Order: sequence, then structure tokens, then C-alpha cells
Amino acid sequence: MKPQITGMLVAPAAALMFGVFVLPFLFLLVLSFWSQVPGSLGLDTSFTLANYVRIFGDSYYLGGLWTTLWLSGLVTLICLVLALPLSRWIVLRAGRAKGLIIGLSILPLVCGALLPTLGLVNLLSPLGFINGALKSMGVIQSSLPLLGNITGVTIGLVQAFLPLMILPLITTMERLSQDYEKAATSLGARPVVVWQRILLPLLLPGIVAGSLLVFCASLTAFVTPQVLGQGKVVTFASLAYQQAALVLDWPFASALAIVMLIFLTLAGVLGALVTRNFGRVA
Amino acid sequence: MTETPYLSIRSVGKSYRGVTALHDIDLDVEQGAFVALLGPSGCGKSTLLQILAGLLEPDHGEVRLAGADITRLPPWKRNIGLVFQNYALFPHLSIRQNVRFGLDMMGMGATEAEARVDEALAMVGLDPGLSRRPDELSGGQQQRVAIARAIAIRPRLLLLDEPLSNLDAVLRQKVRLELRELHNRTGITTIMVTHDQAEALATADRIAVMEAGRLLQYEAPQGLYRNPATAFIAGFIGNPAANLLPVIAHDGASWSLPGGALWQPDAALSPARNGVATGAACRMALRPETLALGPAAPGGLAGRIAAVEFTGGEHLVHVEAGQTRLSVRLPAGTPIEGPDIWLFPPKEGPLLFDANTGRRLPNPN
Repeated sequence: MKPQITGMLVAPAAALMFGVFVLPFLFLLVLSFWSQVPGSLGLDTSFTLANYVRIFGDSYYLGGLWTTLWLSGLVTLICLVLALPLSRWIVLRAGRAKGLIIGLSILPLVCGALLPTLGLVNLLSPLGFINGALKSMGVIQSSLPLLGNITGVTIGLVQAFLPLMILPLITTMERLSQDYEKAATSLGARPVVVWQRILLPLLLPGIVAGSLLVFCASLTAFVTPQVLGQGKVVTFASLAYQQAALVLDWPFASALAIVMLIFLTLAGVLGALVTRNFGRVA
Repeated sequence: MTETPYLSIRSVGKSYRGVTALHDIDLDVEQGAFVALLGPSGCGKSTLLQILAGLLEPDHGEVRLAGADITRLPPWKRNIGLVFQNYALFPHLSIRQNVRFGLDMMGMGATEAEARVDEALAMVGLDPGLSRRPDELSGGQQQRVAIARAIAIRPRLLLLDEPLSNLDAVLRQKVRLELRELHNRTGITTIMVTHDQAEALATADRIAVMEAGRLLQYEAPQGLYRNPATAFIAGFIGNPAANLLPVIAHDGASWSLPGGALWQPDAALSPARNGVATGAACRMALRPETLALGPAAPGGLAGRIAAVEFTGGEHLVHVEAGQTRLSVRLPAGTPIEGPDIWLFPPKEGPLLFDANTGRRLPNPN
């Protein structure tokens, strides 16, 4: 195809991305170095690092950042541990039900964040299904605190983002010949060793891709932590929302968003490094 | 000869979801033999190989290796080398690391393991200095690495699953000769699964022919070629394979051919001499290299030349006789007068098979 024609085909999408993504992003970046005139909606457009100093100097914001990071890491880890056996089962054993099972497992992705999360509120609340069932079986006396804390948020995020781990894992596993395992087994490798030395290294690109997706989605998640944390779990996205929508300090909200973006980029770079140094796929 | 065989397979059977892949297979392999499991795809040969490797468990039956029952022994404890059609070299490891993998699993020390890697690579004719990744090698080289990896552990049994199928025709012939030479040097008892009869004839000491989950015949290549047990084998072994002429005994002296023409062959080939009752349907195997062509004479089959292929050393003549087509191999330079010609089978006991069961009819003389 001639370069001009290719260019024309790409142009509409490029223009759209520029208009709705690149421009607002640049605006956000500039805004983060401005400041709000106290007591008004006016902006002071002189360059300042004050917003960033405030984020990294104030234990409230630093704590929010830290909570968000380790929460995202935890969610990623749980998703990985759940998705590895599930994906393997889907690829090897699901047979004719495969399409249906993959469809079911990506259902949370297409439902949006709010509906499943509200469902989870019912399930996890002190009078909800889980606590009710455990009490009636006599396992517990008083309700477990599953809402308004990290536990609830973690459950909600895992539920929401598990598909992001499953899909890349399934793709990687399907491309991987089963003969690798058979060869390793015949050479004397027990199943655990086959996983350590053959399967995990070969699945690494899928693991990294899935982990990146889950980590980034958790890092920026807003609805789930808000609803299941009931305002008691402070994440970075909720801080940005507070500043932008409630406090109306747009420059500070922009700085929070930029910090979040920096961590997303760092996660991406880390993932690329891991794949390049340890993973190779035929 | 009552000595227990090195590898013995006793009434091993396997079904998948109600479909029987293997029916009660019995097979003995002597120590140091090279056996080919030959058959079309879906005949169960790969299932049998997987059972030997321990990757599948049979529904019933027993596998014994060197006197011990290994039927339910997990694969990682079997010390059986396995080579795949697609090589299955670990793509994230270097070539040396691939060959060393099995030795590391044994917990062998580095010095000894490195020496064994050198030895195995030299054995398959590869430069031991190879530190590259598998995907930088050609298909033939990858297959050699895969073989080196399997023999480095000094396996009790070497299993080859269609090892040559991914190679091009020229390389296939070369590597198959190398496989045989490697076997001659190492003496490792080897079982090769293949669908290519030429590969089996060229490399194996004995060939087990399988069809639809059953073992049809287990015989040395020459015996298999001369005395096929079923019409299927006669029509499968040899290049080109035997012509299978459908015939019905018309009376004691003549056969009726498809389309109704009568053929009165030489007395040795008559229904009466071969104990075939009038009206019985048979298939007569006629080897392409045993047929002669010539002008009309008693005992011949009238035909018409459809095409002649020149293959270098010989001509392959395709003759239409009535409604069947027969191929005839003649040395290059033989004058061929056509298109109308007569076919003459050899005047000795023919290979006759029951048309329904495919089984060989006993030769009465």
C-alpha cells in the first residue's frame, strides 16, 4: 500500500487520539505546575513545584500512594495465583465448553464496575450472604468485617480484574506446545520442576502482560475502592477525585494524576525489562 | 527362547471417551532392537508410544521394562528418552542447556554433565561449542539437538515420535540413515513411530504394523514385504505398494475382474489351485516389480497404458486393465510398446486376501 494511503487511513484515528487524549494530557501536565488562588476558582499560572512537594511531603497523600501501590500489587498477585490454574484448566481440559467458560470469565469486564460491585456489597456486608452463612453454620459468632476495609476492596478488585489476567495467560498457553512439558517430564523433571524451569519461564510474557494490566487497572480503579471501601480506604484515584470534584483544586488533582501516570509508566518499563531479560518464546 | 524380553507389552488397551484407541496390544522388543510402529494417522501408534513414555496410562494391560512392571511408574522416573516431531527444544534455554537438562535432573555434577553434553552432541554430529539458542538452528540441526538431549541421559529406551516428518525430503533420507547409524553405535533399544513405510523399512529391525488400534503384523522388514498378513499391509508397504486386484472366482480356472471380464491365468494362479471356491471374492496382490509386459499370450491380462513415469533408474508404467489400474516397474531402457499391452504376473503362488476380512488366504502348495 502506498504511504499516502496508509497515512490517510490512520489520520482520523490519530486526530481523534490527539484531540481527546494527547491535548488533555498536555493540559493536565501544565496544570500540575500551576496553583489554585486560595479562596477562589482562579488559577495562578506561575510555575511551581508546590503540588508535588505537597504530595510527597504530606503523610496523608504519601500514605494514600503507598496503600494504592501495595493494594495493586496484592490484587495482581492474587489474580495471578487464581488465574494460572484456571487458565491452564481452560486451555487443556475445558473442551467444548471452552468458549462458554472464557465468556463467563470475562463477564466482569463487560458488566462495568458498578453493578458487580453493588452485588458484592450485598454479599460482603455484616448482614450479607457470606456472614449469614458462616454464622448459621456456627463458624463465627459476630460478623467478619468485609466491607469498608482493604479486605473488601481487594475482593472487589480481584473480581473485577481477574479477566485481565486470564486472557493474556490463555493466549500464551494456547501457543505453547504441550510437548515442552512432555519432553521435560521424560528427562526426569517432576511436575513442580516442570513448572519452575519450563512452564513459568515460557509463560512469562503472558504473566507480565496480565500482571501489568491488573496492576495498572487496580492503581487507577475508582468505583470499586470507593464503594467497597465505603470512604475508609484512601486510594490515589479517590484523592484525585476529591481534589478535582469536591475541593476544586484542579492543579493539585492534576499533579496527583501525573504521579499516578508516572507509576503506570514505571510498571510498564519494569514489565518490559523482565520480559526482555528472562522470557523468550519460540 | 523362553528368555523374558527386554520390553514387553501385554494386552494393553486404551479408550478415549468411548472410542477405543488401542485394542489389547501384545508386543515384545528385544534389547538393542530398533522397532518401528507403522500405520496411518489415528491407528493408535502414538497412543502406544505415550503409554510407553508414561504420559498416558493404559485402561488395562501391563508394560514391563527390563523385568520390572512400569505400567504405572510416573514418566519422570522411567529414564526413557523421547524425541518429538516438532523437536520441542526448550526455547528459553541454550542448546547446551537443553542437552544438559536431563543430567541436571539427575543431580549430576557440573564437570561430568558437561562431558556428557559434549559426548551427546558429538554423537549426533553437532559442534559441542554451540552456545546458541534453538531457534537459530535449522530444522535438521534442531532435531539432532533433540536426539542428543534424549540420549544424553543414557535412556533405557529411546522413543521417537515421527522424528523426520518436519524435515524436507532430502534431509529426511539423510537423517534417517543417521538415526540408524546412531542406533548401531549406541545400541539403545529404540522405538520409532512413523506413518512412512519407506522410513520404517529403511531403519527398523522389526516393524509393527498397526491399523485402527490393532497390531496387524510384527515382522522384519523383508518378511513384511514378502509375506504381508493382510491386504492393507500389502497395499501399504513398498514404493509403490502392491497392486490389489479385486477378483471373484468364476470357476476353477478363471477369475472374473471388475467390469465382468474373465481372466484365465497360469494354472498356479487359478482359483482351484489356491483353494478358492467358485463365487468367492478375493484381492490379489501383484507387486509392481514382479509384473511383466508383453504382447498377447496365454495367462496374460489385457490392458492399456495410461501413463509412463520415468524415475531415473526405472520406468513406472500405469496400466488400465478393465476397471482397475495397476502399476508396473520396469528397469530403465526396457522397450515399452503401447498403448495396448498385456500384463503377466509371476507364475508362482500368488498373494491372495479375503475380500471381506482382508486376511491372507493360506497358500495350499
